[in-house]
Amino acid sequence: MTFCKTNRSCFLLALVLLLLSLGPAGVRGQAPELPFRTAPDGRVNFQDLMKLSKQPATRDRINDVDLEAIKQEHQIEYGRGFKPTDAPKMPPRNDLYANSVILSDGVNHTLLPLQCLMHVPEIQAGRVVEEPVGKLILWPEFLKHHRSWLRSQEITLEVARGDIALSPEKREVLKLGNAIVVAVYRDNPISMLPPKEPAVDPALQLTMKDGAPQGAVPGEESGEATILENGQSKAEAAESLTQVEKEAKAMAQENQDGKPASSGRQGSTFQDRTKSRFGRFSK
Amino acid sequence: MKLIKAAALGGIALLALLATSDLRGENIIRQTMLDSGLQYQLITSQDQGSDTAFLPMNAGGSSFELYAYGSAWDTNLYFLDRKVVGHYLPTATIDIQTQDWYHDWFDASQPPRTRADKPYTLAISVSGLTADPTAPRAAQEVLYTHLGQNYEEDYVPGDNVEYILASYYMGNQSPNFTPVYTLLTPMAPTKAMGIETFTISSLTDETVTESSILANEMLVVWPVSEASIAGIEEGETIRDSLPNIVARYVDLYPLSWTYMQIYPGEEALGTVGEVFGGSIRWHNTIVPQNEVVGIENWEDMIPNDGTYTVEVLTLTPFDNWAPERLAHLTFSVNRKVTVNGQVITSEK
Repeated sequence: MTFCKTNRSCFLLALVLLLLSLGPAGVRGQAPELPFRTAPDGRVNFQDLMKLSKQPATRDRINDVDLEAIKQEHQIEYGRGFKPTDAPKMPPRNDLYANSVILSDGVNHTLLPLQCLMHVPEIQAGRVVEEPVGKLILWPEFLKHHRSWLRSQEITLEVARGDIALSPEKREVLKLGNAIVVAVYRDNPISMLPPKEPAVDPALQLTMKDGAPQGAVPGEESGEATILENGQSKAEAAESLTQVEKEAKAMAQENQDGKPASSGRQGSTFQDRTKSRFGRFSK
Repeated sequence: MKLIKAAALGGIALLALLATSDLRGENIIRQTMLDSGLQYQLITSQDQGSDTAFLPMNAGGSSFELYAYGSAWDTNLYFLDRKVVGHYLPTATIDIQTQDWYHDWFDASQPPRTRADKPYTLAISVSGLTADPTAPRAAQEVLYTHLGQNYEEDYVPGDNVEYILASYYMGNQSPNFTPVYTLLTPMAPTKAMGIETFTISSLTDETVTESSILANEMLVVWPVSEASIAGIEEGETIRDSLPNIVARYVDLYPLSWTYMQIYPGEEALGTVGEVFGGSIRWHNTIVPQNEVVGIENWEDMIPNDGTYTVEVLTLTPFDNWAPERLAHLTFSVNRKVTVNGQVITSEK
């Protein structure tokens, strides 16, 4: 069967490239019912495509005038039950980046829940960034590679919810190493809300050995937290916990451009996110 | 396909979470308590399964967001789905069906897509609200928003901002709209491209302090393809060697099959001709494609002098893969050599 009489080599080359280019990209566990055959590895059957080309129902490309007329004829009408809003608000977006703390090692980054940083030493403030750097590395892998300046601290759900406050002594213990401390619950990062009441659950009081807590040394997975009597006021505790991330970002920003950073998180825009979504594909 | 199902049992801690993802990577599940903002993050390599909710379910409800982390070579993060679970939250679904139901063939994380001139079906369903006028407002209505964002010529949003196409309060209802054409507002209707976002979110009132997204769906719109043929003028008569032809394919649909053909005679829509082998382009990608095709040494396609037509056609999932003519050009070939000579003989 001859589809062209010239450029036969180009034709064969195009066919080979076509088949090669599909490769694994077209692999699907459940391929839909296509009007052309596909090999198990996703390649397209060239002959079937050529048969499609010979369908009689060929039409011309639509022009702007005709399309506009069709769209006018079929305008969507939401109708009864839909009440126009007075001043519509843009709903929040599903964006993990705009809803996360971003830690960076200067090359790559990881994402963590908001308010999960229990302690950020000044020397590590630059690790808390506003915009992602490099590739996203998931938390377990990121932690494994950066135990010299990053560690996790298991906390209870009561502490995470703010039902019970960390004592000033405990917070001092967190500062013993020059590591960023991330609150975890069952080994997974969790927010640590400002305490509601300055009370301490006796069940959470653990021991300290020679003044140094278990797991407080950078490079070791932490054990149970030591929580002593809480002498901190509710206002102080709330302020300090919510300010940890802000302070770290402010310090990082100052280090970066010499100017104090504005308060509040500047999340990436929807445009940025959508752009990054498609940005990886060559055009 | 992506799916999260979540259900609170007994209004307390047990929540079944089922998540499936076609991506061969790891998944991030982020639970957020809506009343306090407390967040919990779980990373799992399972692409489906169920488990107890990480955090206890409270009166304010929790949102569960599922993100997929790509395979080894792909470290991008893809939002897959979000569900809100609470005691008295309404439920909503948004379903979009386009003629290009192959949209997830290449990458299941991509939203549905259509073309500027092709309609789609929009099915909305809201339930769980009360008709009691004395109930809190959040229990009576939800907010429906339809947003648009245009793309630049390089198929990215660029600096374009989102704009509101429609915004309504809804009660319990399940309307189905078809056919729906893109509401994006481009300079030219055939060149509309961008993303439309449909969202149903709960309202806030004295009992619910934070709005939550109940359903969210996106639709990507790509422009209508076009093509041009250069190297020969319309109506030109070629008397010498055949010139090179240059065809430009613009905005080829991401899933398309495009080629150039030639046949004898004046242009006639639907005529099947000989395909220029070097003109064939098959694409199965995410964004539209642009191509420049050069045709040289095509004397074999012209067996005899006469009138010929060259056409560029493209096949897409729309209208069941029927060919669509993007450009055509008719010309003549007259290579007969006429020698006007004179023979003179003379005798001396």
